[in-house]
Amino acid sequence: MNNTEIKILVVDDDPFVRDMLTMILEGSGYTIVTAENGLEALKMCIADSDIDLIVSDVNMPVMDGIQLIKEIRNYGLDVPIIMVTGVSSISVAVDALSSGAIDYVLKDEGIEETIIITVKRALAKHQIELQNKQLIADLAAKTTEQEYTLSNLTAIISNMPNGLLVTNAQSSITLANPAIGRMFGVNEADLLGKDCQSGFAGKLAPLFEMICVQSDEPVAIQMELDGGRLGSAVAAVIRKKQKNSEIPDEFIGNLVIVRDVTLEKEIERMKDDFLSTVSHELRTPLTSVLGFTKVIRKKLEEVIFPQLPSDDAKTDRTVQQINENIGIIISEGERLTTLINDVLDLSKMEAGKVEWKQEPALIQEIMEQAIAATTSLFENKGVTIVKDIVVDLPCISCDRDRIVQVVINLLSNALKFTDKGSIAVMVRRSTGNDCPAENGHGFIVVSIVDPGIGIAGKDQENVFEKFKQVGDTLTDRPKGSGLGLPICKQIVEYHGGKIWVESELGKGSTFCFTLPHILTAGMSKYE
Amino acid sequence: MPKILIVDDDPCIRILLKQSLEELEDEGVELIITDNGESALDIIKREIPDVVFLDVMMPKMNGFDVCNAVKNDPAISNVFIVLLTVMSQKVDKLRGKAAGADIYITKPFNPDEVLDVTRKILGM
Repeated sequence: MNNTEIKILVVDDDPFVRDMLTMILEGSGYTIVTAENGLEALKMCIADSDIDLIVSDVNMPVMDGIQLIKEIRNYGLDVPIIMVTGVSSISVAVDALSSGAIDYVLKDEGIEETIIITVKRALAKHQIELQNKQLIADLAAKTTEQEYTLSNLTAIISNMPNGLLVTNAQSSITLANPAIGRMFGVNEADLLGKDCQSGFAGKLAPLFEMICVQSDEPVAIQMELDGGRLGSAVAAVIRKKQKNSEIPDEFIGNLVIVRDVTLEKEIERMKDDFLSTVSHELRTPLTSVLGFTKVIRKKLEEVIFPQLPSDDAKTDRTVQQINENIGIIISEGERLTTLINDVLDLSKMEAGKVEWKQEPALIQEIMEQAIAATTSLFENKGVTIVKDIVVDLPCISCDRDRIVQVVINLLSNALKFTDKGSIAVMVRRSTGNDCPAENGHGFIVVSIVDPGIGIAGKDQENVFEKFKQVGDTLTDRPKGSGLGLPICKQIVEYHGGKIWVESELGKGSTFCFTLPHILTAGMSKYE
Repeated sequence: MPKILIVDDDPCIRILLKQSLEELEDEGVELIITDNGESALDIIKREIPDVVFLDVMMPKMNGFDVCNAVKNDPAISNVFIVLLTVMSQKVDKLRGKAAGADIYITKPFNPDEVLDVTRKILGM
């Protein structure tokens, strides 16, 4: 701070001393204001909070220096005060210090020098005192804040339904909450200080095995809890952030969180049972409906219709209507069958209960198999398939039947919305721009392009959602189960690929999906 | 003449199968029909049919168990068994294969396909 910004109040009833002190201090650049006695000085201090220091005489009329100090403190003012005393008044100086003066100066021959030094020292000392006060106040505030945080955390940890176990870097347990005690039928307090790598493990053995792995990737397992319940545990390492970002974070321990998933598993099992039962119960009557309808159609075609008069317009129309109606019963029955199959399939996929195969396969062969399976559908509708499959594509690792299922689904879908022309099937390597390589894999892109009715922009993200067939469902009769594309999405994403649609209303749609291919030597990641 | 055994606890399905195969009946094939696994096994042992259309979920004895018993009995292990069931999952089909079934057909089935399959099995 510049000295001119420091305002000093000089208090003395003797005008000669006032002027002398004013002159000396102004000579050092300080800004000076003056008062004739203690009371005047007190009023000035109350009115002007900018006064940084008071230099005051002791003996003055109306209010003396010692009284001034007391009054200043009574008003809660923090301004430091230097007492100027006579040579023979050392005892007065001591009084002044004990009353709260920051320092004193003797009115002797050397006052010109001593006053400057004393003022500087007092200002510096006061500054340090202020900083100390601030530090103490900050510390107190932080401590209070931490006490609150700690209380909150303790309450959360003690009352959370999930079990929690924390160890230090030496694998000793430093925290165990009541829930973990209940889950494993032990007293959580008994766990504190126990070593996870010692033979103590007992019921918590599976947890300790998880902790010993000390992998930076979270480890998750399922384990049996007390009373035959089922728990799902996740272990993770705890690292302390370093101020220097170049130093790796310090390993300080492990953390395990255990969740009781008994009820979830039970509900999941009930859902599976329910779906399975409903599926079985629906299939039996559906078998009769579809089967007998087909038997009836055959009998009509082979036995009844040939006996009808062929020249009667009414009879012809009736025969045509019967054929159409029977056709509708059969196709709707078949759609219901697909729906039942798809609901079961998707629910198993979502529950992670599908057993996936992983074997090397050639995408060209998969495409040929899917195209062969849909050839008759295409021929019936008079739509052709145009193939544009790059030769020498790298192998993919996949569940072959499932990828064939995706392609068949996309081909049938394209055909459903195409009445004439051709559907293009393209397979190539990703160029890297549309689909960058990840995890050391390059990608193969399969595109199926139809010239059909197209999908409006707002509907494009919905087509992969369950039962979200786009368009006006009141006027456009839904075709298929509404689950085909969600199933494709599950399958493609399981394989580490992506599926999307590019389309414009009235101008057809392009459905694309990617699959990671197996990298071979010499093949760049972005090929 | 060849014999075909139809085993299903649902009366509609029994009628449907009988109607699907009635062409063969006209050609002299004998259709035997029963509604549970236990009697099916008795009939198979007694009549030794050429083909059995066997439902899986049935009272008394399920189709997998019947199939297992047939395939493990040298006297009747050559009987051709077609499991005909509502159980459509891959795991069910694998279970059928493990039980020794010759063919696994999922309901709903196409009556014409059942007839074609039977003709092929019987060489008719």
